[in-house]
Amino acid sequence: MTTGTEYKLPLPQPNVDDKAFWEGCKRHELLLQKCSQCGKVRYYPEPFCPKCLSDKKESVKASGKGTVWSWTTTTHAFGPRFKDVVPYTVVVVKLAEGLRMTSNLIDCKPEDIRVDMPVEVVFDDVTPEVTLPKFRPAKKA
Amino acid sequence: MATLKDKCAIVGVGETKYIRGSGVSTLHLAAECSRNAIADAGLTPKDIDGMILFHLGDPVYTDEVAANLGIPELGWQLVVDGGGNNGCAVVATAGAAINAGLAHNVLVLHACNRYSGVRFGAGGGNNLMSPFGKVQAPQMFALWAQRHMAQYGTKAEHFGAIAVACRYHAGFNEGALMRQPITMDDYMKSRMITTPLRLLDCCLETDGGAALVVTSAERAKTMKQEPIYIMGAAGNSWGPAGEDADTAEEYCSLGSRYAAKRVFGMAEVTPKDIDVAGIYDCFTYTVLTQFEDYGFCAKGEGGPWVGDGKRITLGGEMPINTSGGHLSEGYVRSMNLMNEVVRQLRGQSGKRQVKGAEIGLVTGAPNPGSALILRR
Repeated sequence: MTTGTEYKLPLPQPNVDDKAFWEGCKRHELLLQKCSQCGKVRYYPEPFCPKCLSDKKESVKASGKGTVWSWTTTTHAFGPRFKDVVPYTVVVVKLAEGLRMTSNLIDCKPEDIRVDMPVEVVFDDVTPEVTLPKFRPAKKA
Repeated sequence: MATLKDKCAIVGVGETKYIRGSGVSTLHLAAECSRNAIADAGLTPKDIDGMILFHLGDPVYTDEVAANLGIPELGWQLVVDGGGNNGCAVVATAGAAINAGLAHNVLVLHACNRYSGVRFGAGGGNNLMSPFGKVQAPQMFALWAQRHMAQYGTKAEHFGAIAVACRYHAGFNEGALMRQPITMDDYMKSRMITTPLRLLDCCLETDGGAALVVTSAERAKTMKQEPIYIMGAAGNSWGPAGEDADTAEEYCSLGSRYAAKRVFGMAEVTPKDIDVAGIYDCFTYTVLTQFEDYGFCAKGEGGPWVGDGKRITLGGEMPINTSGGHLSEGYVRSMNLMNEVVRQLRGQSGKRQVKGAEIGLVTGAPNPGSALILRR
């Protein structure tokens, strides 16, 4: 969705919970939270482990592989800043680690998208400060 | 356990006109619908001693409504931040407050300048959604609808049948914003917004307000209107569903599935007993998946159950959204659905009256699901 020199689309405002995630993206690493106590891996980033209720956590690198869980190709611009970027596809990816992540699907025609289609992460450096993790159809091995 | 069943009743309903471009403040809309609901109940503002409202985007507060209406004193009031899932929940809370002795006659309302005030496309976002252009409700519902279609074979025509039925009903309602009849062909040709949702899958953006008055069953018997009793209630029931789901079945559900067992359990009736319904229709998909969640059919069978739409249209076995709903009457976040079901049960719905309607269901979504079962 990069629109040239000036990037106008919404940017993340990293907070204490998701700061590590966005710093990972900057290094082209897709990070998940892992509970330091029971080992449960989770996304979205959140303060407590929903399984054991510990607030001790670390980051682990995700494989970046997954499948399409659902998608929507947006043709209507929700506000003027989206006028030049429609149509674009919002995708929910089921990561190989079993978690769902919302992102964009790129390099794929809307009519070719299928549920369970294999996808892989690709990092888009949209500004000097911010990198967004997006997904594209997985390359055949 | 002592429940709210049959303890309270809705004794007054009122609204503003539903329009685009109200030219007045949200407080004006709030006070106007409240004034009308109080008058419908045969009461005056002096009789109101409790108030609860919900708002989203354009805040309005209970104490300013009270001051503007000349209500001398409130024993209990509550302001809830949020959207259409809250309508049935705040009515249930009003009933609970009355039952607990916190207030006698409670005014419940919602008002919004949704067309001329804060519209879709404005405002901030979520760090892990908006950078990917997922900024508005249609996209959230579209993702669920897309998976529902892939998972269960649900078709665009099933969504279309809901849009056509609601528009047909609006034709009998002079106050509805969109009354021009539509056909399935019109639906299929309507502009795609975000796949698979078309323009005619989406509710309206409306300026308006709707209010009602709740009191105890005992006091209701002495009032002007026939009491409409609250048989069952579920307020913002939540669990694994939608974005909070673990499984595909849960992903294709709303919190409504958790509200269903509570509301039908309290009312001690089944979906077969419902004569008329106001099913929350921010999008057609929302309606279809709630038919499954509330047990009118099994999960995944909502499409075939809706079929050509006859069973949910006036003259069918369970007409829904008989004033046109959010899709065609106006979007006042479940409150206009509620007022219509109350009027249906009173027998005051005129040309769109469901003959012999005794029991009605009203819902709000998502992911938290709220519902009321009402009876005459």
